[in-house]
Amino acid sequence: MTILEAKNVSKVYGTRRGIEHKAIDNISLSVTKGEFVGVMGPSGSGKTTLLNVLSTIDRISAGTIEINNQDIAKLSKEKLAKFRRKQLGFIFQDFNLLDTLTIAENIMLPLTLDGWKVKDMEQRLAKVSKQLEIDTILRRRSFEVSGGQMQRAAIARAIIHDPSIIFADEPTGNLDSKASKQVMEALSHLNKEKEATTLMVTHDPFAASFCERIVFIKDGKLFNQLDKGDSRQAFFQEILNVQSMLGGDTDDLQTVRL
Amino acid sequence: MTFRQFAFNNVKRNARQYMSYFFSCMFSVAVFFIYAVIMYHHEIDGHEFRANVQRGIMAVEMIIFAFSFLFVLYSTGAFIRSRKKEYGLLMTLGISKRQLNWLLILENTIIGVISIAAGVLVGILFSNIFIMVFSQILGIEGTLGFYIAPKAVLLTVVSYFIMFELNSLLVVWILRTNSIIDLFRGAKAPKQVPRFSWVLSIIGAGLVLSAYYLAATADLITIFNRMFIILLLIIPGTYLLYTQFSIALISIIKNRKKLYFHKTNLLTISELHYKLKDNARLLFFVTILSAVSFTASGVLYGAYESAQNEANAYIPHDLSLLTDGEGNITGMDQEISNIITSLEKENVDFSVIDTTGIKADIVDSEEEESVDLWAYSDYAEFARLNHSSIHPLQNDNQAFVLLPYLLTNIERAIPETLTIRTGDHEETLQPVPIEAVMNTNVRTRYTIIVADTIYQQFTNAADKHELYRYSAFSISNWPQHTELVKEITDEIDDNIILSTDSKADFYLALKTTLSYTLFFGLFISVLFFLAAGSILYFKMYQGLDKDIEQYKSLYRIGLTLKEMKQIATKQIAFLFFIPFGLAVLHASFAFRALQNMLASSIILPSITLISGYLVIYSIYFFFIRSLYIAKLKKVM
Repeated sequence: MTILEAKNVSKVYGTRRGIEHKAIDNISLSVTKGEFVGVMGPSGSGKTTLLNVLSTIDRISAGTIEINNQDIAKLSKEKLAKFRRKQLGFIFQDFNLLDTLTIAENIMLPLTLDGWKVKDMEQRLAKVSKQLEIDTILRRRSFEVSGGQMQRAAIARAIIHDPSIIFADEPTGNLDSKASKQVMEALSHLNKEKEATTLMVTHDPFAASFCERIVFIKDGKLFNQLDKGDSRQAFFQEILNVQSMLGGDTDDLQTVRL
Repeated sequence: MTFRQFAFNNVKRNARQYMSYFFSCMFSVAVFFIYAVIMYHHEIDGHEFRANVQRGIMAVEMIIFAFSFLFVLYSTGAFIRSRKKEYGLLMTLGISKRQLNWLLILENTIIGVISIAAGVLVGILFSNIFIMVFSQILGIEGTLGFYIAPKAVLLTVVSYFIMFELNSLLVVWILRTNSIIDLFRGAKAPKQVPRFSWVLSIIGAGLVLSAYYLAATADLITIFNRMFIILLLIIPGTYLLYTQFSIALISIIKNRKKLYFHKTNLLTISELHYKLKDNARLLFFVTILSAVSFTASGVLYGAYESAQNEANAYIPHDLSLLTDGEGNITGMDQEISNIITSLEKENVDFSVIDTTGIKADIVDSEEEESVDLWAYSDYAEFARLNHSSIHPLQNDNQAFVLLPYLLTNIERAIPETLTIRTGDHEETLQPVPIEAVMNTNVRTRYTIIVADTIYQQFTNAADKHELYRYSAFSISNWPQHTELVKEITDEIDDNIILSTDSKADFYLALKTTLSYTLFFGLFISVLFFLAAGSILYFKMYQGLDKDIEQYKSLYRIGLTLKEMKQIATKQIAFLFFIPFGLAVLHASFAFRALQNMLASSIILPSITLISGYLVIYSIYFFFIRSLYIAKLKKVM
């Protein structure tokens, strides 16, 4: 079953008299249920823009995007927000946990906004926090826990309402290697056990190696696609090869020096 | 781009942030300037009120100036703190400490010069209206001419310029210790969970409640002792309400999960939890400022509005003459006929009663106290003249003791029996207190009404010099003839008439005193009040960037713009109207205390006044809310 279907999507910036810049140029992409897709590309390739338009935060200039057979271009801003709240889950590089809330309150936030009953929310919370092994820190505040724990709390928030698809924007960007591993294992575990459909944008080949399929983009266009074979190690090597072929900035290749 | 241009552009491009700061500065400059214009007005210089009024204006000027100083210091500090990151960036780019200081001073000078210029301009525009009102109050015939003394401009410009410069130096000094990294971090350090103590919360609430109780039960005598105690209770009480009680209250709400986890409440309440704690001291300050300004202007306005009723309550007869001694009593005929002539000349309807009273000594008294006796039939006529009710005497042994209005609310020991004597006649009577129906003054002692038969016996026994003559006038629609009555009473010969009392004199004296005070008081109150609003605005603006950051991430996870507006509106409304509400509550208990002292109801004037403030405040609230939401919309 197709969850996300993007056809001939383009995003153009600076249309008002100025110089036009095509951030995304005619990209088509589809994600089926239970898939774990990675999007990679050098800086400025348009991968964050792609994530933004796919996740309804930004509007597209041309093409169509359907999530769960719903054409998102047809929804008003107000409806889009409610759509995101119900159908999408978000994970960010800088976690975006509110520091005025406890970890538990942060995780329950999407359900609260949707007007759930307290009892039901608490049931869900208990379940997801156990899955992500953060059930011991629920009463703490965001700045009192480690980066890995913060990101897992953010993941819990992204999945607590059983979204159709999870969008992750550089989820390991702010984490050390140990925390990165924890977070990626958690994501991949969710993907396998719960068939959580995930689309992740990343720089990090190590993080990307947890995906099942990787889409490379360059200058706003699809460049290449890789499918994971049997071994994550081999997949990691392939990713590095494509990256050097892409010839991105040196900082994109940081992990090569491992 | 020169350095100076850079500073200028900084101000220009931060115009929105500077706006409220600029308006508040401009307002205080304008007010200061208008007072200065009056102080140096050449036509006032020669006026007899001059010394008195000028001292009043001088005091007002000093208060305005001192207040502006603190206000500008606070606002500049707040503003610069909100731009710390920018300064951090400039420092990494290699701006020297000296250059940064120079930049700050330059920016402040620019804004200062602009607000001084704008303030003086606005002042010139409004000074004409102001002078008109002022001459009305002082009763100067014709109004003062439109005249701006160069001295007034000079005083305003120089003193405010010095103030702005001094303030920028102070702020530069405050900022001096910050290293680049501190500047970059700014206010980013994580906040601790707000703590509170139950004991202190309860103490806070207790202090405020007991102050309320004291105010509500105060009367004319006790208020002078209680006023200080009330202040001593209310100020720390209010402080504790904000720092402890409010946090305690929110913690209770947080425990009520159904409410707390209901949609956007989670965000509103948790944010408010921190904002209340962060701003507790500020909110306390704003509350006290507003309460002071409400109370001061409310009490003054209330008293001013009720001056007529006060006159009615304190002075039962519209105009009265009292004298004693044989020669004076006959001489009074002439005075009465003079008054009648004056009143008839102006076609004023009036009626007059002429009565005689007797001086009697209290027999059992240790100090030689005496009373004034009047016959019951005269009392009935007095009462009829005032349109007040007539109490019947139960028997001939009863005597009415007339209590002046001031004392009616106060319990006094009235003896069971009273023995009085005139000449060789002595009577023992049962005194019954009733409200006064005739004018009392320093010349009158206890005024007692006795039955006509007893009065007759005293008259027979009394010596000629033991008699009083009292004439009371009822002047129809007296408040319209106050000036005429004043003229009449000024003409009366003090050697013949012992005491002249009129509602008009009382009324005019009260009005004049109050109108000065009201005039000065209201201006300072409004200034305080606007400053309170501006301070809130700055605080809000300081936190805006951080809030926007948070809203951005919330937007991604599906918070609608409508909900954002809701949350923002609720939060701003709480921060704005909690101090307002509390200040109104404080002030209403002050009004309650005032009410215990006044004859007429001040409910209407105080409601009028508070509504006026509410309108100004609401405009302010909607203005700031729209700025906030415009900023929200822009980034979403």
